[in-house]
Amino acid sequence: MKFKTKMEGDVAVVHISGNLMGGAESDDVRNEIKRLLDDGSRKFVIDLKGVPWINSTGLGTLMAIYTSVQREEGALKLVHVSDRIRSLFMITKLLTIFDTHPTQQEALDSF
Amino acid sequence: MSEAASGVEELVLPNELDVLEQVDSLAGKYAKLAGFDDGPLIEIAIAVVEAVTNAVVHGNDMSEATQVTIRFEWSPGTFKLTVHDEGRGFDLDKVFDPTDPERCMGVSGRGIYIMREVMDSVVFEMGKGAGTTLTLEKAV
Repeated sequence: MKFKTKMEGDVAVVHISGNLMGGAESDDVRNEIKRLLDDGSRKFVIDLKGVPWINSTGLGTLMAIYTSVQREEGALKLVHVSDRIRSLFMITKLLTIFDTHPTQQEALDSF
Repeated sequence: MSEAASGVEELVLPNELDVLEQVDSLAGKYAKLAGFDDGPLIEIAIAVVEAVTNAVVHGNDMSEATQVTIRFEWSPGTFKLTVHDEGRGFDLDKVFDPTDPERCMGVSGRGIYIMREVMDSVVFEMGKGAGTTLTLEKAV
């Protein structure tokens, strides 16, 4: 799993590619969000276009990011959520927690 | 030549999260051969990934010195997975409901819940020093 961050105005867009399934790489994503929060960012988009699936550990990573952003009164949007990831959100009853959008532009427009 | 709709495959895997992609691929392949449609097939793959994640992370405690043994069994209309780790097991009575309002924002503890939600049967067998065996089953 890899990720890269791009600023779109005041929105930090984090593109993830590869399956999000825990381990050190997931910790790196969490630390990236923490760094951005420390630097003053409060608007985040996580683009999951390159993520076919996640497991419960990856879901925990997203929950940790969501909680970190909420704690700082920020906002987090997810885009390009695959059917399988959406299924996992439904099974775990977290579908209403995450603000999901079909495209990056729609997510950016929603802030 | 088409593959048989019934079969067994057993694998001994290193205790690392990278095996999940191979396991996921095989789960989808064998569930399809068993006759599952896309929706249940995704659920089976999700459960299988959770089972092996659980074995690697919690059962074997991420130890590179351990292995995970998995066995797929499929036949028309049925899918079964057995996962064996080398860990000491855990107290099933202490597994909480991650959808409880006081727990739902947690970052862990969803694996067993997910498996129970999507599979027909989820059975743990824990023996002293013998590791833990988890069996998942689902019928069409």
